[in-house]
Amino acid sequence: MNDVEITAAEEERVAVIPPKPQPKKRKVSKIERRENLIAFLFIALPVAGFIIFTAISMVFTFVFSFQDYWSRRGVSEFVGFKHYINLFSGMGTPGEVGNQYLKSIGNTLFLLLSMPISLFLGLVVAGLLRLGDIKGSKVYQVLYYLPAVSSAVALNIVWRYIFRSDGVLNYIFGTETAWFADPMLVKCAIIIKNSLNGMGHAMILFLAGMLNVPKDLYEASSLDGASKVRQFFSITIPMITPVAFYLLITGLIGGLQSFADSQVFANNYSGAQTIVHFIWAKRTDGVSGYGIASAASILLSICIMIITLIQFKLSNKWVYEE
Amino acid sequence: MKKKSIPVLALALTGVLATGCLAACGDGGNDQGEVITPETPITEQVDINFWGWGSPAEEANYRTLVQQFMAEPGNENINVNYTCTTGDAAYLNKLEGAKTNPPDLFLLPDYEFYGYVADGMLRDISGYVTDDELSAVWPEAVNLYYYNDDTMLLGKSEGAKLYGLPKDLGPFTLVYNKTLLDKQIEKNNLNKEEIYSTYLNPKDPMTFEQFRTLLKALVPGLGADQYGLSHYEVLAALYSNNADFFNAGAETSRITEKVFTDALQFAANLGIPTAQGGDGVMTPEEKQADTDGFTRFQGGNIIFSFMGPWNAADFWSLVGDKFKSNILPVPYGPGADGQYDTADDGSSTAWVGSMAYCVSSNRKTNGVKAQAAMRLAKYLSMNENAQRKFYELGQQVPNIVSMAQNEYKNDTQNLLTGKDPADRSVWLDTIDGTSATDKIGGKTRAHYYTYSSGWYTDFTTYLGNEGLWKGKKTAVDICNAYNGILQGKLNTMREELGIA
Repeated sequence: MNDVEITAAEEERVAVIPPKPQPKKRKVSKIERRENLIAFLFIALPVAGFIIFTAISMVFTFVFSFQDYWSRRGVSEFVGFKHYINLFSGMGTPGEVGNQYLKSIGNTLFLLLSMPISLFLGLVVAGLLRLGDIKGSKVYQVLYYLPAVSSAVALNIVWRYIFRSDGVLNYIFGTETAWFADPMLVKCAIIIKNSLNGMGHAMILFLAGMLNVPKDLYEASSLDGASKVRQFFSITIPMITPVAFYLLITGLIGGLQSFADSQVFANNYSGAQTIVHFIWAKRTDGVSGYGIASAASILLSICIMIITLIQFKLSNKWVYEE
Repeated sequence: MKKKSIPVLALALTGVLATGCLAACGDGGNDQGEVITPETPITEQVDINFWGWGSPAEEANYRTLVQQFMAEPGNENINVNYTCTTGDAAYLNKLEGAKTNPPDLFLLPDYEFYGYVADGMLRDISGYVTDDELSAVWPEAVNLYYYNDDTMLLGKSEGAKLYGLPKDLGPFTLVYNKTLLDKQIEKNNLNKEEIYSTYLNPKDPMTFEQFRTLLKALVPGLGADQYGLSHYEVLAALYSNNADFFNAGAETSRITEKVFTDALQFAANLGIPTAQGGDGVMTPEEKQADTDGFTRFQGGNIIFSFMGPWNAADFWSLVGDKFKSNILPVPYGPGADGQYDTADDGSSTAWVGSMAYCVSSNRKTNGVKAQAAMRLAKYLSMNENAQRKFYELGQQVPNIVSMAQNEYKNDTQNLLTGKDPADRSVWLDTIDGTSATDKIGGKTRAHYYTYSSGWYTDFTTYLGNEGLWKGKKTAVDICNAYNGILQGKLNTMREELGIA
């Protein structure tokens, strides 16, 4: 490249620009340094935990997704995109890896239906508890919230007893529905279960959000003659959209990572296999197992990231911000 | 200290912590070079870890035996830390995860042996056990755990070494609820004497057709949620009809052969409702999804099920006096030509499962530790007192052939008085009957012969998904569709093993 010719006028202009003032170095006191060090030491352990159990695992997962791995021998072989290709080949042929993966994606997406249902139910219950003068509302809050603080495995086992062909549900309705032997029925059972389990969590957060809505908004609208129902739709709901947004984000991420539903509730029934269960089941399938499971994990992570980013992007249009 | 150096220091500290943690997870490395020598007195205190799996009753049995081992003269310095995991999947997952820090001694199912031995996880124990000692044990059991490093083939052959001592041989045969059966015989006005002599003869197995006929005769009048048969063991149906998944060497799929699909269809028809053209005598698939077959059987609601010797302890404690039971050889099919009276007849062939006591090849299990682990393995596998205790506790058929064929079979020590099953000879005949002329015999599970065993679960899952048990598709259609996939899996496994 030729040297740039600088004209005299330009030279003059450059000369008149005053040099950028350098920020004065602030002297850090001994106490400040000490405090900083202590603070870093406090976070050292969780950061080390993050590095070992998350960051390194993610790097390994990424690397394994391009390898065949003889786990017991500790030997691996680079195979390029083989595992990614396998995930998307044979999708139409039952029994092939691609077909299992496709079904697990379909199942996972279908099971996400429980999220809007649980949000809706949580909102309705929170609204009733907030607006209505319900006796013993605290007891209801505790009861509805109970599933959120209970073990997922224990809950799934209890729900399994409810849905068994000789279970409580069939006994009450006098039916003989085999919820666990049909791919569609078992997914419906999971949606019912998750909707009711998730309702309490949504309810408590919506309720907290409702309590934070400024009272003067309600007072002002009352003076304008707004009914309670109108207030709910025009004031309460817009004001609690940040809570809804939080529930939506965490619900989607949790839903896409669903595992116990397949393993415990559906007892590994393939008709209810989710993506994470597919990953879990595939990892021991020969020397390609780790690779396929890793490739599916990477794709799932990317999907979750994209969906979350889109949600954040769209949140500008409907989430209330002060 | 400068401000910039603080994050650097913190990062370094974090790095040290992380490296320290990772180093703690480090691989002890494998040590196949050291050959165990015959035992010498253990004079120093040694702790060994021993992992097993099983039901609570099996765990209790093992704890008893481990205590008994530590109390034996000469073992005072050995401390065994026994850990039991419930459920095979959980156990194998745990074992796989512990590859860098495995237990000194562990139980390994036969169908995982090929993978573990080929991957160098097991210690060569040939030098520790003499041929004389091994000759006392069922050869069918010992031979399973030989492996030739050069040819990468399983089984006893020139140059093969021993990598495990058999825990047991477990024939999975037919079992029946005698109390419920007698009740149904009476309820349906059937000839009890004829049924017992013709159909329920422990020395003369039923054919598929006889079994179907018997079930159909017994089922009428059963109560709600009661069935003639809990489920059908796929391997029992296949093996008893001269069928198998692949040829010797696990090279070529055989699942489209007529004997294979006929056997599968026979088993499926038993559960398909009569309205759909099936026999409707077996627990439907949707009910099996709630509660597994053997649990239903233990509940007293099933006439026939399948059972292995390791189930006896649970059976005694859970069933107690609720009902009487006995065992039978599994029914057999017509074999290749569809006739029951020709040379091609199938023979009653149950699958015979086995597990091995394996010593880790990891360097951490060396010297006196390896010696102690081997001593425990040998004690549990072939010590006379241990074997007697095991059968008394309802854990297994004794490994020592002479003990099994006399003391155990005839209960000469009166340790099994009043305990079911009475016809223990069925289990012995199943183990022992491996020649072509035996009408009752057993066979090792197919996934023992492959480098990894996941293909078997994939196949059985596929059968269910495609609707075999509901009558949505026929065995022929399903097997034709899956044949290419299975062949691909066989090819891949051979490539992975390195013998393609």
